[in-house]
Amino acid sequence: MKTKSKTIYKRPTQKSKFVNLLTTVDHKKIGIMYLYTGFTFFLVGGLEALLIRLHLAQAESTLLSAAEYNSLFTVHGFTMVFLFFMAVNSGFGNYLIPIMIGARDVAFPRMNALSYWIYFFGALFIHSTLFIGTTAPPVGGYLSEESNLFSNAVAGGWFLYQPNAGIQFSPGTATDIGVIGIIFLGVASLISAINLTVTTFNFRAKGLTFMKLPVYVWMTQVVSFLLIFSLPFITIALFTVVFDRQFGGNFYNVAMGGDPILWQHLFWLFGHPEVYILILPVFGIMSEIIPVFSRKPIFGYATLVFAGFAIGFIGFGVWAHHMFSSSIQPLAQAGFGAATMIIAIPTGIKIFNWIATMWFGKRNLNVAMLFSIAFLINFVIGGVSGVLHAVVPSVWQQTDTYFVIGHFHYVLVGGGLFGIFAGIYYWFPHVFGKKLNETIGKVHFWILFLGLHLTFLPQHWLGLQGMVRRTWWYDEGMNIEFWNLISSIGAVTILLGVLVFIFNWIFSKRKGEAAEFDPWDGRTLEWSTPLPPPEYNFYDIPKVKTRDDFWHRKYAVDEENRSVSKGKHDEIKKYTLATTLMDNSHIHLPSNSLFPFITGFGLPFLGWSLIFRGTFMSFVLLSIGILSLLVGIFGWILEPEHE
Amino acid sequence: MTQNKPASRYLFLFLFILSCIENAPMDSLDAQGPYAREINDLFWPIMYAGYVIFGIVLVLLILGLFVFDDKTEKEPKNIEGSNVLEVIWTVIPILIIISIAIPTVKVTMDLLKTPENAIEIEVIGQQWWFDFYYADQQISSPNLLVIPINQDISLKMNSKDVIHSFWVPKLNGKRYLVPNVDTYLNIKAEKEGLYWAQCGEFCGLSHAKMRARVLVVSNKDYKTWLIDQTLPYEATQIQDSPIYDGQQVFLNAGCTQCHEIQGFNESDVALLGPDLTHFASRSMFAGSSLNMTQENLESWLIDPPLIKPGSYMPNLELTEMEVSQLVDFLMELK
Repeated sequence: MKTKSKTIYKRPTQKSKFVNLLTTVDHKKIGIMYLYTGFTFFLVGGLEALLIRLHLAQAESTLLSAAEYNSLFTVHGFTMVFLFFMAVNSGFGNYLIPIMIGARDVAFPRMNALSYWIYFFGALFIHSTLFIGTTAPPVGGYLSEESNLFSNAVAGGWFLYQPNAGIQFSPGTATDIGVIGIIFLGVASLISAINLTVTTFNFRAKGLTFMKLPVYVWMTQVVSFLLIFSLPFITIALFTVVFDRQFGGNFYNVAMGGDPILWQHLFWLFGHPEVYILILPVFGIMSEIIPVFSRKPIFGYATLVFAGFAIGFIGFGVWAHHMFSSSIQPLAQAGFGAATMIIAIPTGIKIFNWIATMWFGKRNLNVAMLFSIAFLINFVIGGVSGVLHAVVPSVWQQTDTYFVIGHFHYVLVGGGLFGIFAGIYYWFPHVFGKKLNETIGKVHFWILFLGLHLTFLPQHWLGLQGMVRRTWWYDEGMNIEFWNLISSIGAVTILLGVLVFIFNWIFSKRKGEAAEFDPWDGRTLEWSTPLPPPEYNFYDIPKVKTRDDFWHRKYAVDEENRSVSKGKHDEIKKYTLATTLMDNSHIHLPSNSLFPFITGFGLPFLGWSLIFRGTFMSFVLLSIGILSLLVGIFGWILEPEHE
Repeated sequence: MTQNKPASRYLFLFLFILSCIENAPMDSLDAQGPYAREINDLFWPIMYAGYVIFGIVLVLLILGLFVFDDKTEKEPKNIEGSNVLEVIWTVIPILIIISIAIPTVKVTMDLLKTPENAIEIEVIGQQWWFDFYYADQQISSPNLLVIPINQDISLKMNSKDVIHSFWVPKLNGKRYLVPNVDTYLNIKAEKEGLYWAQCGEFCGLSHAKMRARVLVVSNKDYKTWLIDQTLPYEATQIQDSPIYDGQQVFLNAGCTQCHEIQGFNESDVALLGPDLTHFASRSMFAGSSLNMTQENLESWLIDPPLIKPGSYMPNLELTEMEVSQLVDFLMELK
């Protein structure tokens, strides 16, 4: 029932592109916005990494100053973890989950938009540090070089160890901006996690019981649980830092009885699950792509799902392996070491299940599959060096060296990034109705594969040879120039690979091979829509009978247990494409709303007002922030349900 | 296990000819003491097992893709899983993990015990240098830890400001230096020589230049060194000599606010900077980031924060004359 409401409370209906961008609540559009924004920050973080590598290409390099270098590696960490990786995972999740479970949108569409806008403005807030951030040497210390744009950012490392990142040892506003920015991003992730959880639990199509869900949905669900349980740790921890820095909270001030090790526990209680928050969705992507291009169902569905849960669960009990060189006692060290090793078991199960999926299948070595295979190889290398990080005495040698950097870049770049690229090649036709070019894609793949190993394999050896992390300077006498140079050449190679990918994206969006329906002979529900899907996803809400339901609509099983085409491909395609022309006025979709944007818009102003605390400017900023929040929230409450 | 052959091990490890990595002074695989060696003896078998596992995965992957793929004209079989196989690749990793966990726990417990006959030396970390304090002799030896050969040393460590981490890769792993908390690290060297040490935890602007050296000497030399270090400085009274002028600059330019020279400007309170009594007896200075040469000392005195960004030692804006007098004096502090 529509109620006539006052003009001011109308939901926006204008379909101009810009207004639609600000007001959309469509999960697909928000997902794509996440992907574009996240990928932009991937380029930013990548350029930061490139500067770092160029600086380290030779011994005693003076390309960057210590202040610039420290800011760059800190911001590289922030950007890649929070602004790129988590955003892209959110993008995939937002786009895919409703459509994989046969829903028309997420459970809370406006919250979904809010989550994106908080992320967006949080990212802007963090980058405002370039213009208003200041860093300074510790109280009593001196600096001979002028600070500049690069050294205007937080420089305490993404782990912000206290008291080094406290007010005494890192004065200036840059650290505050970084800390508050991360709090904003945490809010965005929490909203998104709750939203996707409710969606998965309540919006599944008829017949789609839990054990029929695509593995990707399961893995994202584990991640949502991890976010819901681990974000409170980091939020509390970051608030203690803000209190310390702004109001003399003394949580980590040793002279007043504070405890710097407490910060490490709180940080890693979040920081370790965070690693799985980044990688588990990629496990999900692998579990979607490998079966399709082997033309077989996933091997050991149930174990794969439970292994994901096991990784998430155990991931909460291993945080102290980041702190083996701290003052924690022998028994705790041994215990956390043993617990860490256990994670290798469910991870191993997943690896073997993926390989078993390929056995006796029909391989299709297209770019998405190449990236998936490379993912497996890279991830096993990262996993093997990961087991060494559970061997406590070995960690005492390798912690805080380049060995660790090599390890986690194999996992996050060789695993995570490769998996994301696989996902992009796989779902690109779904989003744009066109395929990414396979030939350019193969060039992209091989350059990136070469670049990855050139860059990160030598870093293991550098670490074993004693190169300490986060050092802007190393002596010629260290005898470590050669592999540093190779590693830097590798970084440039990765840049080339990424440029090829960008070219492929632009080229294929214009002139790519058209894919209007089910280009890969897919198995899951998202491939049963026209491409790109209409706003309402499904004309008819699907009824699900089996796992991989869409496959079983197309294929029967013969007496040898082989799939046999039912010969219905064309019929299904014809009908699906015809639905786009049918009358869809009866389909209810959530209406657009500007208020999530306005609510998110206010947050950075609250942050800035804290940064400029005690000035008139701060009061103005605070007013804008509060006003914007009030308008946003009350408008949200008062606007009508429909347009 | 063969010892002291890091190059051959790298060779085996990476199947590369790596002539350029020999003699890396911080090579953690080149153990020169029992603690570091025990860690390596744990590291290598696990590393080798890792290669084997990686090899198995690679072989299974290639077999699955190119040998045991479905070669019929039909669609592949819908194999949904196999309980037997899945139990196998759950149980085998469990067994591997147990066989790694037992030695890990044992070595962890072993290495954290402090040996009974160990000599205790204090390590005090501060931005950005290590101070080594011999409590029995009341000697402070900034940047240089001198220890006797084949003797267990228990380092009692603490920090004056932020968290640091002390690491001599050839002798043992890292351990934090936490403000207000004593942490302990055992080291023992079996070969005389100069070892490199470095701060392992990010501690601010000049973290990269927070280094130290560990000098391992014979028992006899150790005792001589201890006695030498207890001797105070005897100030020269000959006016108009370069050293006398240097002394005057030292007293007047502000140096004494942070630096102490036993027998010359003793202070009742703990000072911020390193004790300079035997400054020139060490081969390095400025957090072991500079070799002890005239030129280095000059450029350091002209602008310390240029060499160590963030340094608590300011640019004192000394004249060329003052710098050269100060260098003459400091080089006298043997």
